[in-house]
Formats: sequence, C-alpha cells, structure tokens
Amino acid sequence: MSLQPGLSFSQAPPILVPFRFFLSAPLFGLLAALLMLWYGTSLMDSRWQPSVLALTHLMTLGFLGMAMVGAMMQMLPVVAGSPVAHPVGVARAVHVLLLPGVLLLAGGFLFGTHWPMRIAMFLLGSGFTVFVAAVGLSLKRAPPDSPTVVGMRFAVGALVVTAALGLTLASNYGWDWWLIERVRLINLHLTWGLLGWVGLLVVGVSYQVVPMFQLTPSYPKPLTRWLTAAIFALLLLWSVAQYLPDAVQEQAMLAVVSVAAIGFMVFAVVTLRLQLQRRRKQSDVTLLFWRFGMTCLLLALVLGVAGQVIPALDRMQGDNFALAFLFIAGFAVSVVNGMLYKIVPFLIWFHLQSLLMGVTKVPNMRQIMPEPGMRRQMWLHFAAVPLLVLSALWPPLIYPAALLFGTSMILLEVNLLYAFRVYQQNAKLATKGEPSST
Amino acid sequence: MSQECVLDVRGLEPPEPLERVLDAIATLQPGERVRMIHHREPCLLYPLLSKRGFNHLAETKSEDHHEILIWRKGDAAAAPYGLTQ
Repeated sequence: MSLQPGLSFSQAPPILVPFRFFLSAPLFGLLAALLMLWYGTSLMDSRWQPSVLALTHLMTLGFLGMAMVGAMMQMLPVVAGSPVAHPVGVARAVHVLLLPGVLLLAGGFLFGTHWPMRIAMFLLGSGFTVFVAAVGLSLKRAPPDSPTVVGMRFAVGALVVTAALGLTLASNYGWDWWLIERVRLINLHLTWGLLGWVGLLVVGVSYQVVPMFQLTPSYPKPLTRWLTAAIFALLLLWSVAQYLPDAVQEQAMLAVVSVAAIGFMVFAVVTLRLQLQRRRKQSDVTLLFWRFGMTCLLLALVLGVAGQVIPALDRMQGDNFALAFLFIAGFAVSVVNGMLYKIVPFLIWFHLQSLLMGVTKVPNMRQIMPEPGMRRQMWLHFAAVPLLVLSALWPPLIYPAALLFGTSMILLEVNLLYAFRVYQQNAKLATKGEPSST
Repeated sequence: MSQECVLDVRGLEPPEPLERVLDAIATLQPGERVRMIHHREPCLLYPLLSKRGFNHLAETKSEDHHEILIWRKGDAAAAPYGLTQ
C-alpha cells in the first residue's frame, strides 16, 4: 500500500515544454514535402544526392527529432517518475538550438556552401549535448527496473552514437577534408539513427503507451526485459562486423542485421496482437495509425533483409528508397503522429484540470482534438505513404505523394494548433475566473 | 461508520477514469469515501486529488488491479484503517 506517492504538479513540466517541439514537428514535414515537389523525379537518381540528404534530415531530425525530444521531456516524469531538471530552460535551449540547426543543415546540403553546415554543426552539437545531458541525468535517477526507462537509456545511447557520427560527417561537408571512411560512417550513422534512436525509443515507449492509451494487455515480460538490450547489443556487433575481413564481413553483417530485424518483427507482431486483444473494441485514429505503422515496419524489415539476400530486389526498389519511405514515413512518422493525437489532448486536459478547478468544467478529449479533423489527416497520410514507396519504382508518383504528404502535415499542424488554442482560451478563463463557452 | 462508494473504471480510456473519479469525489458527503478500481495505477490522478483537498491510499492487488481509497482531508470518519490525516 502506498500513501501519497508519485507525481506532483510541480514535477509535471509546463505545457510549453513539450508543445514547442510538437508544434514545430509538422513544419519540418511540410518542408520535406515542398522539397520533394521542387526536386521531383530527380530525387530518385541516387540516395547520395545532397537533395536526398536534406530530405532525409528534414524528416528524421526535423519531424521525428522534434516530436521525440518533446515527448521524452514530457514522459520522463510521468512514466519514469524522474522529471528533467529545469525543464523550461532546457526545452527552450534545445529548441532554439535544434530548430535553426536542422534548417541550416538542410540548407548546407542543398546549396553546397560551407558556412551553413559549420553553423549547423555547432547548433545541433550544442542542442543534442544539452538534451542528452538533461535527459541522461533524469534517466540516471529513474527506477532501473522499468522496461521503458531501459529502452529510453539505450535509445539515448544510440542518439549519442548517431550524433557523433553525424557531426563527423557534417564536418566533412563543412571543411571538405578527406574522409576515407565516409560510406562506412554513413551506413553506421543511419543504422544507429533509425534502428537505434528511433526504433529503440518507439519500442521502449510502446511498453507504456500502448497498454495505457489503447487499453491492451501488457507486453509479455520476457520481451520487455530483453528486446531493447538485445537490439542495442546487435547494433554494437553489427558495427564491429563492418571491420571484419572482407571474406566474412558480408555474411556476418547479414546474420547480425537479420537477428535485429527479427527482434523488431517480434515487437511489431506482438503489438498488432495486443491491439486485437484491447478492451475497447471501437477503433480510433491512434490505433489505426499504429496498425499502419507496424505493418509498414514489418514490410520494411522484410524488404531490408530480402534486399541484402537478393541483390536484384535491392536494385529494383531504387537505391533503397522504398525501404527508407516505408521505415521513416510509413513506420516512424505514423506511430509518432498517432501518439501525438493521444498525448496532446491528454496533456491539455490534464493541465486544464489544474487550472480550471472551481472555475468551469474542463473540455473533454474530443472537444480538445475533434475526431473528424484527425481522421481527414490520417487518410491523407495513409494515401501518401504507398505513393511515396511506389515512387521508388515509378518516380513521377513522387508529385502526388508529396502533395498528399504536405497536405497531411498542414492538417496535422492545424489540428495541433486547434488543441493548443482550446488550452489557451480556457487558461485565460482560469485567470479571469469566468465560465467557459467551449 | 464510513460509507464507501465503489467506482470500477477498468477498461475505460484515459482520461475517463480520472474524469469519473473527480466527478464522484465532488459530491462526497462527510464520512464518505470513494474506492476506485483501476487496471493501472493512476499516478496522474494524485496531484489532482491533492490540489482538491483529498487524501488517497493506493493498494496494488495485482498487475492489472489497483484500488485507490480517496477521502476528504480532515474527514476522520471517512479515513480508512483509522488513518487520521
């Protein structure tokens, strides 16, 4: 039995801490869509082009990075009972450093000039240092037996590796020095970023948010205990395998990456199965986003491993574009988008419960984030992803895909802003002590 | 003798369990308390209760069965197990 444990309002970060990141994320998605429209079919010529590097970083560092940084700062006190110290100052510093950092990085790639890349390096390096230090301290204090905390620790470890490799590569662009290991470092950078930082964070956070918001049974204990650690260890092994003699390197790397892929497949299948066992049978937008995301993850993993075994398949899907679109837009953007639709209205409801006590009734989740707006945006996203994937086979599809993806990002921003306005209007009433009209 | 109102919110989607219990405690009379039954420990409820002037006592029966007793601060008749706060 416990008397008065847990969180207090002073521990829950102010609403702007996560919101400044959440509201920025879709703008990067929109920029990514505009870039796809501008460069069009030429994007598919090669994955090594500056325009593709800019596009990838707008989606990963921009959309995913913003949403994930905001979500982590919000979730640490709630799921780990360990808030980030000085959350307002940390959030402001990280946001002010990362936001122009991502823009300058994309600009540096696109325009091939040195100075934006150099400034981006400074901004992104400082931003991630502040973030990792603040979140690292909080995770150090958190209870070690929580699988979500363990997953977050491994994800942050992967972020450190990704950022260090990324800064090394960016310095190569910024100063034009001869980097003989460039291709190998790029492969390490993107694998640690996508499977490590993005993949491990999604897995770790799912252990909490899927049962909580989708009313499913809990994930099986052996899975929550071992999966994130196993995937992190496999990423380390895979990195070492890069430096094995040529004769065994390919097989060793394939074996390790296949086992890691099986780990993620197990996670996706278990998640889909848990969703079938949920208490509430009615489907909602978040559930559909997650089902779509898990299906894309499974397809990406099958395509990724099959492409290694069958080189013809790799060539057919256009320099891994189909794989990248499936993983980034299909899996990662979908689950982040779906979770935003639960976290954002819930956070607003929670903060208003405190502010409006004794003033007026707090609006419910549907009033804060209306269902029709979310559904419209969801269908646009569901239409955009297959077209993005198919554009790897038939490049002209990039135009309708980018239009749909961009419109979906605009609607996501509109939906988030609508919810935030509900918060602001009600927060104003709280200070005046008047009844609400919402 | 204290009166207990049982509120089973298992299977409800967040934040409905919190909404229901906040509605229930708003009408508590002296000597009355709420026993909330939830499928997970509602950590976010506790600061809301404290701010409204309520005490709580949480008990974990199993992984998906948590019982939270809630009573008004200072209401000795409603406090469980002879707790005085």
